[in-house]
Amino acid sequence: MKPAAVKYARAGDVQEAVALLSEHGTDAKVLAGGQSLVPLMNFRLASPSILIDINRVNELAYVREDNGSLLIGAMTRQRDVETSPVVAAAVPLLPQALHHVGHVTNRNRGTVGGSVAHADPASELPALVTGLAGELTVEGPKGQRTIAAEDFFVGTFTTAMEYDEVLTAVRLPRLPAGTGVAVEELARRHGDFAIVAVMAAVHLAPDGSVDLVRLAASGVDSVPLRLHSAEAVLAGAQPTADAIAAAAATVAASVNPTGDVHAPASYRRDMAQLLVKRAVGAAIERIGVSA
Amino acid sequence: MTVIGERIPRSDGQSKVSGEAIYGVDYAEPGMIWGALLRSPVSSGRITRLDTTAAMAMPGVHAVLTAADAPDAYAGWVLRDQRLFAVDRVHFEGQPIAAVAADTLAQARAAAAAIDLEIEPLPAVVDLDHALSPDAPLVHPDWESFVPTAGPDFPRGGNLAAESISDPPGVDEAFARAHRVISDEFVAQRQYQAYIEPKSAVGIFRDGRYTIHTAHQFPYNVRDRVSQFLNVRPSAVRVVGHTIGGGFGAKLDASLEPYAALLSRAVRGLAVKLVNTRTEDLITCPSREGAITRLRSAVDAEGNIIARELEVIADNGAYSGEMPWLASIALHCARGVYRAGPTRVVARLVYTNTTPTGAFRGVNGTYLYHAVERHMDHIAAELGVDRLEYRLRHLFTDGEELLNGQVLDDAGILRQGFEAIEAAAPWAELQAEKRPYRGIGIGAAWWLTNPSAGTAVVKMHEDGTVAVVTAATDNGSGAVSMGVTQVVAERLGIPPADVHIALPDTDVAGFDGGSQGSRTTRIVGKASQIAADEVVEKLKNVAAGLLEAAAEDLEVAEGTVRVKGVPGKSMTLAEVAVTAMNTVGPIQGTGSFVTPFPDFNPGCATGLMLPSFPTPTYHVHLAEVEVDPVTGNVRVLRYLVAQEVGRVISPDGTYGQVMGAVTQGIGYALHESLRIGEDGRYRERTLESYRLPLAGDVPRVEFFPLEHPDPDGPFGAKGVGEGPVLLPAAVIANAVSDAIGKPFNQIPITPEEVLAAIQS
Repeated sequence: MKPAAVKYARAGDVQEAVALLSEHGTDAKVLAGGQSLVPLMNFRLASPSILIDINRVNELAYVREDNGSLLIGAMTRQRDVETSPVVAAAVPLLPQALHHVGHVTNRNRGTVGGSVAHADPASELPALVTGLAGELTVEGPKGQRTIAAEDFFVGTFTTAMEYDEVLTAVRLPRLPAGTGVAVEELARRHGDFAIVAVMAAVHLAPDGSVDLVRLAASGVDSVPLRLHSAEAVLAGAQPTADAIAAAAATVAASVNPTGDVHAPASYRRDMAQLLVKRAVGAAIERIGVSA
Repeated sequence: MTVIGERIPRSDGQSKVSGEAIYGVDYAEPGMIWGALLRSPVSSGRITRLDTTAAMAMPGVHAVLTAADAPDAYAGWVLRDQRLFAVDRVHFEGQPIAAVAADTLAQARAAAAAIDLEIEPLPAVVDLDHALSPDAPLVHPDWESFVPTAGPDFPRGGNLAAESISDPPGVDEAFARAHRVISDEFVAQRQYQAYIEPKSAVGIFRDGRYTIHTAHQFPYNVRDRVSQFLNVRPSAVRVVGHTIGGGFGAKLDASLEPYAALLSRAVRGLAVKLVNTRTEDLITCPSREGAITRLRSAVDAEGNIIARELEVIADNGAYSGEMPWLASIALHCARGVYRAGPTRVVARLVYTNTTPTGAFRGVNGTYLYHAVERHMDHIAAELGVDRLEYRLRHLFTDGEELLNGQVLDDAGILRQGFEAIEAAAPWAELQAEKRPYRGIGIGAAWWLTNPSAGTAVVKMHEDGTVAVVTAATDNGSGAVSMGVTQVVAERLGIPPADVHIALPDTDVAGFDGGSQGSRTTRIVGKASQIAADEVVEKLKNVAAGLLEAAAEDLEVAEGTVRVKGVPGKSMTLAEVAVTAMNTVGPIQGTGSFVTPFPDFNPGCATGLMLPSFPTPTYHVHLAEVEVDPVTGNVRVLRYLVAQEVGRVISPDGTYGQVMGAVTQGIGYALHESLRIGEDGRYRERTLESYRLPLAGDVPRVEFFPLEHPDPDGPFGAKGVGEGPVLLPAAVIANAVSDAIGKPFNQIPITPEEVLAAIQS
């Protein structure tokens, strides 16, 4: 299928992109990697009047460590992040999550910022950013501001960004050395949109108790969720099978899935709970094993 | 040197891989414009407003047609129950209401969308059982006026589109004295053929005739359907075939072709092309029908099945297509391949307000064998006997007489199939090694090779190569690009690369029954072999004078005509062919072939439209699956096929058909969901939610061909392509049921259902 007719403008830098957005208003869309937006346009589910292409904004393609956190430019290709040793050392959960994003060909083109700004509640990166308490830097006519991930995602395909703002960077806290990470995902086929995905990062204190746990889920609400209740059950506890089960048992109350053509709501709820169990178990198994 | 059974490059392989092949969707004519259809958005309703004025005024628009512009004609493969455009009422979502021709595809679609249409919704008939209840609204209140396309009318009435009933004596008596009675109900969803190439057609009205370009499995059927819809004689329609991007039965009946033809006429002969979007294609495709199958078996104290009842209610959709003809397949599959005493078979095909269903590889057989083989597992479990041993105890043997009186002389091949599977996957070992959440399923089937007529002309070029003119099509199977090619090459002693087979053209090649029912290699191969025999005789007669030998002392081999047993006394085919130009004229041969229906008892059933199964083949499948107890996902670990093939002509083609059919069967069993909502509309509408299995979801099939050359087939060949799709749903359902210990009697098996069964 082909998209409806659309105008096109290329921004040379962030300021130009912001100016174009201000000029064209709410019918404009930023074109990053285009791996979600273009199919939506082809299916006529999205019909922006103009695309503002930021693929030539090279200043937004970078990965670096910054003051104990990992800073990723919005236009960094997902595949570059997935294969980056800097990323693997700082946030080993990220390459694992990216492995589930589409296929390699999608990730060669798809960007970190594009996926986050697209705010699909079923996709992996928004959930990861939420679960790891990341921060999003956006730039608009009034300058830069930083938004916490849990405030950034406000609904399906909807973020706290204004229409004239561009996402420029994603900041993720560095995970302590020895953190075990796992992504458990239920998709009918590899590369399909996940029905439910759960991501876990777990670090243990010398006495074996959990001193850091981060849990995120996608596909279970209109926004990606950090599973605070489940984290609270595990924090400070010995990670026994019972403790993990108790943490997983809180999930049903934390999530708010809706049924669709891919799976009924009850199945998503069951799967979220079971995948939390699997992901926490797998993360603990992998503690000390480098990604 | 023989090329039969040898691996050869397929003649269309390079062009398909390189992108040079011109598929139907690629085809263009000089000056061509574009068409689009306005389709009904609802499954049942009354058209209260249809105004094309605004659409006609849109940019680039040449014509907008509705029922008022089409001949007042009814068309249909078996029953003439369908009109080109909806008149007053719409009967399924996607039914064409109007057609537009415009300079560009975008303009045509925009104009179709601009047609002013209002429909007052009416209740939709969707549920199969309810469709037959007295209070159900009639899908076609005027059903009595429909006329069969050929021959006498058949049993039908109201929402009952066709019925076939066999009620032999002794069934009730056996049930009355049964030690126990075992009953099951099975439900199967529809399956979309999901070929890569969506349907398309280019129509041209010129010199008072219609020419249609289309990538089609059955060009002669398109000719007939277009002639019915447009109310002209068949010879007024010429159908030219192009390379097909898959069909699997969905491209056996006309679809867009008559609209392209009528639009071209309306725009004074400009070529008009229509092409489906994927969603249009999916929601209007004649998918495999959904069905409910109910089975009851009477078992005596020794565990023998002494009688059976099978009732199947199948979904015809809103129009009949080929479906009534297939209803009697239930009679041929009601016992599978196992003795089961006298068997009552009631097959009903019902009209619903849904997209018309149609042929899909293994027509009717997939869900019938699923039902029969699940039922066999159930009986064995009730009796506490081993499933395999129970099957072998009841297995058909040579000389088995079937419910329709047909005798299977060679049914003993079935036991060889079980033995081939046993050798590769010993049953006792599989049972002993079984781990939790793993399961094994086994099943067997028999099937026909479609007997429909075919013909071919083999003409010798002066350079010693040959052209084969036939209306047969290669739907991707390799039946033409390898099978028929090899048969002709073998007969003439030339390399397969020297055999060129033309694409079909109904003005040029004689009737062909289409790429269906595994028939092409066998029927067209046989016709081509007969034609090549004529070429051989003519070559010998011409060469006899030149070689100063009697024609009967000559042989055609290795690119020459030569004197048998006299090395050096030979001429190339090119030399003989050139000589013929000056003596007898160009050399060509003609062959025709059709398989007669095997003898049957015409009184065995009512509605017996497909009376018996010609050229039977035999099939045994085994699957091993693993269930993920957390997600409910099922993974097929191992899949084995033992299949009677007559003789393997092309090993790559044969294995490709088996691998492809099993893949399609795994999709049917586990992945491909095509649900119909209460409103009669499909819920899955794109290939994102209609999930085909991917390479990673399918194991490499272990294949054991069983060769028993058929004396009537070309070099012994029988049909190959359909049979292997019959059993995957059956054996996978048996394997999942074995893994979980609970019955799975619905197709497809979804993770949600597996999980619910585990948790219950």
